[in-house]
Amino acid sequence: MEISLLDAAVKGLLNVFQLKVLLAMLAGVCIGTFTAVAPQGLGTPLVYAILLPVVIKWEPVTGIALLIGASSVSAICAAYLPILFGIPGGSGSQATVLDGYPMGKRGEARRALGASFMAGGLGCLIGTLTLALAIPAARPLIYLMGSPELFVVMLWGLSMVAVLAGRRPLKGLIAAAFGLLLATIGQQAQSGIMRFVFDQPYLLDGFSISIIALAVFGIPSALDLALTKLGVEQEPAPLKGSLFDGVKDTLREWLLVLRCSFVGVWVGIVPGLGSQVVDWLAYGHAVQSAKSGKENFGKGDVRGVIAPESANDAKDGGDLVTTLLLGFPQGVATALFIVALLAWGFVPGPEMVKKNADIIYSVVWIQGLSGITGTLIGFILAQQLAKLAQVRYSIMVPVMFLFILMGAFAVNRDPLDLVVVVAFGILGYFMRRFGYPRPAMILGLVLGELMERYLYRSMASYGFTWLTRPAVIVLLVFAAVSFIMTLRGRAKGKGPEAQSPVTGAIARVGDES
Amino acid sequence: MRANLTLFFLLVFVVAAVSGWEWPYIAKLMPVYVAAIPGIVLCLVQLFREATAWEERKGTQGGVEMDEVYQAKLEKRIETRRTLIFFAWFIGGALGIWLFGIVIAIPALVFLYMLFEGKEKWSTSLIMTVSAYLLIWGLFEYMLEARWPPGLLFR
Amino acid sequence: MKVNVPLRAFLGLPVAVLLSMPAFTFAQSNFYAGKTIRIIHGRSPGGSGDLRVKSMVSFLQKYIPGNPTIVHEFMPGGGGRKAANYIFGSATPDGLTIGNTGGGMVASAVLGEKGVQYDLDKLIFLGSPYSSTHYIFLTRRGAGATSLEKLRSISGLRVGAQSVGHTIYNIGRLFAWVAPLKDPKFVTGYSSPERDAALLNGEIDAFASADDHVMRNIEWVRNKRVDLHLMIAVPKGLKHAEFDLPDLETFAKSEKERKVIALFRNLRLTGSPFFAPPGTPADRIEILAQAITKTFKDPEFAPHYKKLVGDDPSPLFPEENQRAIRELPRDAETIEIFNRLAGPGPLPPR
Repeated sequence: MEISLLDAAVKGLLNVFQLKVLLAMLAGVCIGTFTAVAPQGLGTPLVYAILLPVVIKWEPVTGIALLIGASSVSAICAAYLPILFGIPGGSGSQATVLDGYPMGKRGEARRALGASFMAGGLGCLIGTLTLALAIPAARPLIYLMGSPELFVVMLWGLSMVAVLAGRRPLKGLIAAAFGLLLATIGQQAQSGIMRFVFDQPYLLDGFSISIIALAVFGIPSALDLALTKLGVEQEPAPLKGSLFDGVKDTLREWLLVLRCSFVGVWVGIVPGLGSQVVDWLAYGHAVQSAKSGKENFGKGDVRGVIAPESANDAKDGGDLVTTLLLGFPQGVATALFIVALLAWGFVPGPEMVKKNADIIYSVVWIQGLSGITGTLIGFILAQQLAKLAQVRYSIMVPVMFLFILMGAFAVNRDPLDLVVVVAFGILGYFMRRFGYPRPAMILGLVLGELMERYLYRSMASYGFTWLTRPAVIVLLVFAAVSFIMTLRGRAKGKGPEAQSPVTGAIARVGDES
Repeated sequence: MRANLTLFFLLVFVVAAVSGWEWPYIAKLMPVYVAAIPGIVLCLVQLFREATAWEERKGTQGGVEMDEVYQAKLEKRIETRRTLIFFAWFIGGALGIWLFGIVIAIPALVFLYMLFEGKEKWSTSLIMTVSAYLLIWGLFEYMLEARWPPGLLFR
Repeated sequence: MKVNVPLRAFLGLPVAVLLSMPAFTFAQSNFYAGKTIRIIHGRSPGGSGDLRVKSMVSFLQKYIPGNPTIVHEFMPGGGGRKAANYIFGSATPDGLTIGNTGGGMVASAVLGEKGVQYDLDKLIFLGSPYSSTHYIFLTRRGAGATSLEKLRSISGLRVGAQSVGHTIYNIGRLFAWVAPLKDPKFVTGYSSPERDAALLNGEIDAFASADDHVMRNIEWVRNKRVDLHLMIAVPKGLKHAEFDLPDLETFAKSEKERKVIALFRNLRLTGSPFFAPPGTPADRIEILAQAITKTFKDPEFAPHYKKLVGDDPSPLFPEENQRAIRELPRDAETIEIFNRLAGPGPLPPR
């Protein structure tokens, strides 16, 4: 068994080292990089849908090289939007805006980009390595977590509000509650009841998280430039530091990269979790676990860039574990990848591990190589892209309008989405103006629906006995400890507010959900 | 003004609690019991604090600042003017997409904003406008064959 | 390219006359020449529904006289309701705008769900590349239902599904109602891979699924991780190549139950239909319907479709599509029972 897998690994590598395969991979990497840099609306699923009819006529490994090349790097370059424009990147790079944009504004765009690409590249490699190691024994991985365990993890994630609410716990909780409420709009899966639909077909599926994030963060960022007339009335902060500073930051924080990459791999493996939560969970983990300098998060702490970016890229490796080794697609892009594999005559899942292990290893090698290539391309681009931080408002503001309006409109192409982007843009402006933390709202929105679903499933399948599952108890203890540590960290020498009755309210929100 | 935003949240929570009151428990738990009712309580506490200027007295030390806080450095009048102008352009752009379609509206927005608001040169404005057009039309419609919906006026 | 079109038309004129095509056909073919047909998808781009339509496009272009350009617009939302509302209410009925959604759009209308602003009887249905299928009810081996008798005797079987009202939920409830199961519980909120994982780790005991899904996971059956019990064939009587399972209809005890099963079958049979706005000129509908028919009959279509979609096409021809819509049972009792099956409450009494 050992030897045959080793053989397959070697054969998989030899498959890759052909000129046309390498060229296809390079083409894929370029397409993927472009996808990441283009405005929202051109995601990997759309790219796959366009490439698929072409590649299924090719030889399998060449086709795989193009597809994997495109998907594996689409997350690596996604950080430039949040860092330079203050607009959340495609899903998976939303949390990056919290620290990336302040860094960009301070003139540290190169450092932030360097850190994001390095963290992304490392995350990609760690994800790939996990995929390679999982090939002999993937099956147990997916069954580790049932709905009860996932519910506790989401609860843990939501306890992050205690941190995200920051100095304004009360406003943070209001914002989080508002986000939770937004998450419940639409037809509920469990009861079929239309919640807050008010007979509007538009609201049947609820609001799109990406449109709201785009508006709530993007509009105030653009307004800032227009207010200060940056580059005309006010000089932008001079560019300082280099890409290499970011690389050094990332290497110094290698443990954080490793931990967040595992968060990413895990999110990738678990069916049902996807890029909408990966960056937030990783960011929350970074804030909660940071030893010192916690107060710098949200003001341009490089760790706030490293964490989400490494997790987002590692997720692709995790996705492939489930897709290739178990045959479960993890979203539209991997579902299309499965279609391509089927067209070439491979049946993803245990059968493919037995019969075509060399192809799986080829995927592993291509994924790893593309990650490295993508990172290098990212570095080359970053030198140029970083200069955007210096461009005057009269050019930047219309470009941001383009990104925001087109990004919002491209999701569903529904004119009502424009109403939503305007309304939430205005809301984002007021929230920021009056100190309501926007991240807390997005967190409620992102985790709310998942929490509700997992809780319902746990109760429906197990009644209250789910609370006695060993994994649930262990996770609950972890969550409680880290929550208490966070609160103590807040309380320590930081004024009276931290001990106000409001902390009780945070706990209450946690309990009730 | 500050209280108005809190009032807005309060209103949303009240509407949510009222319209969700008749739902069965599984549909009600999250929006009503977890979000709306605690939200109402929190908003009332917040309004009380605002009325008594609690935040100003106690200060806001402690904890991490998790969102950039707005710090106006401009004169109030200029700031209001620029904010209104900004939103006028933005809403105008959204309205333009609805009326004329995105293929016309976005390049037009880019061009007009750069020329009139940004006081850029004709040539710079034109180059940016053409790039925007190539992105929206060239990439999506021409290369990807995914048609943008036409504006209301061209239906 | 732009130069070529008038040139081709110019050269084509004498050729057409020489071939002595009837004058009216020429007038029609002229209509689509140089025009653009918009297909309004009731879904997001990417995904198998999109590919099903895209697999047809080059054929349609070939078979519509005048070889129009075909472009795609995406209008996801409400399980196709948004796109159907648009086609019914806003699109110009000029034969240049047609819709394509999943079958949920038909079900929503028949069952009187919210957000339906279109009339099924007025929309003009043009066929579907994907219609016939088998639904299979299966349990995990650990649940102990190794035979139909045991399946019926187990109390509180947990049946998983996507969401209340989802086709897979409805079919699971239909199985549970007719088989019948003893006090089944329904657990919803799973995506389909999540549901598979939940079955294998024992969080749920059973689900209903389309046969292609079972075929993709055939090693569950071979390794005896699951037991297959019943199936519903759409259309009625269609044999399955691999499994020989009893059809649910053989367990129906009354005409009422048979009607509910028939309603389900017809809803499913409409597949992912193409449809045109009411009032579209009949001659243009005829051209479109013929092009779709010819596409389905083209020997190259099936392999092309299979490559893109990963599954064999099961075409529903335009006239069959219209008939399937017409023949949907719409008596109040059947619909009421179906709505109770599709709803969150207890199963209706038998």
